[in-house]
Amino acid sequence: MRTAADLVAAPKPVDVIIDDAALPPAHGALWRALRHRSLVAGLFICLVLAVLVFALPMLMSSVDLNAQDPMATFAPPSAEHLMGTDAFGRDLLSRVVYGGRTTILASICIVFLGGVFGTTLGLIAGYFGGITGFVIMRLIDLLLAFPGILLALAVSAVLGPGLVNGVIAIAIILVPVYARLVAGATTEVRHLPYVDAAVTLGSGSWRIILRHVLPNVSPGIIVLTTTWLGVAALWIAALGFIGLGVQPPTPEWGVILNDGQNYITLAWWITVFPGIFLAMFVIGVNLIGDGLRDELDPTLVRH
Amino acid sequence: MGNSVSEVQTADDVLLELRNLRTWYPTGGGVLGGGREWVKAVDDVSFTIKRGETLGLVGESGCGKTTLGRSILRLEQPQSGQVIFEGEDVLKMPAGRLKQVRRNMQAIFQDPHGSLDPRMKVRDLIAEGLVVQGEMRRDERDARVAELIDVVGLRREHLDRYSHEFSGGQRQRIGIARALALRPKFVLADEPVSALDLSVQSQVLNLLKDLQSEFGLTYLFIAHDLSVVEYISDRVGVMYLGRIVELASAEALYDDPRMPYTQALLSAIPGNERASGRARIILQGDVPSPINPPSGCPFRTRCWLAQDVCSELVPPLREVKPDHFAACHFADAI
Repeated sequence: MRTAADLVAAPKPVDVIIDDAALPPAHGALWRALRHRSLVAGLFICLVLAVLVFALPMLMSSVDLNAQDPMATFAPPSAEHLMGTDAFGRDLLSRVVYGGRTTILASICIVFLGGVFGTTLGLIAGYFGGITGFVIMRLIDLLLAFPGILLALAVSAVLGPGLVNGVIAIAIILVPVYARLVAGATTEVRHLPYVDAAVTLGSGSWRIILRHVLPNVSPGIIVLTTTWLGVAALWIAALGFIGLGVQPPTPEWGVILNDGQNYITLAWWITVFPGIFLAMFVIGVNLIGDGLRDELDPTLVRH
Repeated sequence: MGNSVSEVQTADDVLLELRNLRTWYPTGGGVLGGGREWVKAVDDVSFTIKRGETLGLVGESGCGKTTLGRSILRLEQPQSGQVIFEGEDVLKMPAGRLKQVRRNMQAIFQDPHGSLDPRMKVRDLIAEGLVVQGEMRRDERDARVAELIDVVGLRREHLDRYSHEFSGGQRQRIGIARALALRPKFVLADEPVSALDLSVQSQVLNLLKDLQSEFGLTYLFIAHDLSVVEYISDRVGVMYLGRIVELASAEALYDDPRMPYTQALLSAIPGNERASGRARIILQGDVPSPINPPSGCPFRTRCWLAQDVCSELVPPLREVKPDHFAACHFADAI
């Protein structure tokens, strides 16, 4: 029913009034996020753990982690040793607390290393595609074809036992996980009109990747990181448990668990306490991951 | 640029000229390319756009009009042909020169939601071209951005907001400001209003018209809405299956279409008083696949005038009347 004449009669652009009241408040993101229950619970758990593991040792500076007390082996939890002692009479609390530093810092290093390399490969494969993308993705498929922990075992067996080698071995497993996710998201973003707009303005590929693609695929990366932080902690503990990761007597949750397994009927506390801490950490970061997944999902309606 | 390889002679008043442009996509076939077929999205298209004019391009969805626009901006890589912008072939330009020329060739995109990066503030969205082209100091850039936001009818307070806080029409204004930031000569408007409400459509169209006279812009305006195209265009091209089938001044094309397909399109405008004297033409069948277009005239499978000659010879786009081109064997008789 409309002809060119109707268009002429339409109001001029100057008449446009923008109703500010209709626009949502610009700075509600943090406040909104804090109303998310699992996010808050996860943050709380991780905060408590961080205080225990990173702040508490400052109060225990005089404690010798490896001080053995042959008179007090397998002492059950008491006022003197809150978590009891192990087979050598070492104070379990201080070992669990210090061991947590190793486990948590190692898992952060793992997701950082795996994340940086995996994300870079994923961005390149997803953005440029073609032969480059094809080759990268097939290599990634090759890595993904191995069960993760088996690959980590093989790599750390080749590199030799030790914390650093364990971190490298597990980081290698994470590379394809990140690359897969990022490549997929990048391919999607790459075909959005705002990338065309950036090309039309004269932006080069790397500028587009860093300024447009990376920020828009980052929610997925953040969520993946929180999920895998917990898994990395489990795996570094698993490597420690079977003797390929951190070497005794250095405390690390997996190593302590391993120490305790032989005496689990005799001295349950050696296994249970580091186990509880490890579980807390994994649950905490996973809850944060769940919360972030909801909060960072742009498809959800924001209120 | 005297020794530039890409230099081509064109008439002085011509800003953009397409010569035999073909953009074909490979489809099917395996990794090694066996059994591959081609989607002829843009097939042998030639036309010129003069400085300061608006060329409208209409056609059904899938007829190749968007691919044509993208090929001009080198967002697609055409198979063959030339895109001559101010005497230089855009398709043969090295990357460095292409980046310089992009200042003068900008685009407004169809989707007001997808065309603005959701992670950038309006200020950075509009300034992006200036930053990329690196031609201004920060304070000059800020001044240009502030000026642009006024020009497109938004307010300076909006510069620090994100695009998801705006309506479709407002976002399209942001997109227009971004396209104009580099003071281009040519703007490709790819269905800039088809995603907008009717009332907002006319506001944006009027804005585009005002900006054209203010900045001396040349538009290639792609749309499927015939009344929108008639309103904004000086000349109009009709596309069917990747080819231009009729090209004339807006007046001549709407008053005296010489290609059956154009007649059918015009008769389909609801309440079109000029068409009311004629019977409504209902086209039979679907648009043929651009992978296997009909032999001869691409429209012959749906044309009520089709004769044997139509399946044998491709009708060339010929001048039926002065400045009125139509690709039909019977264009004079209609």
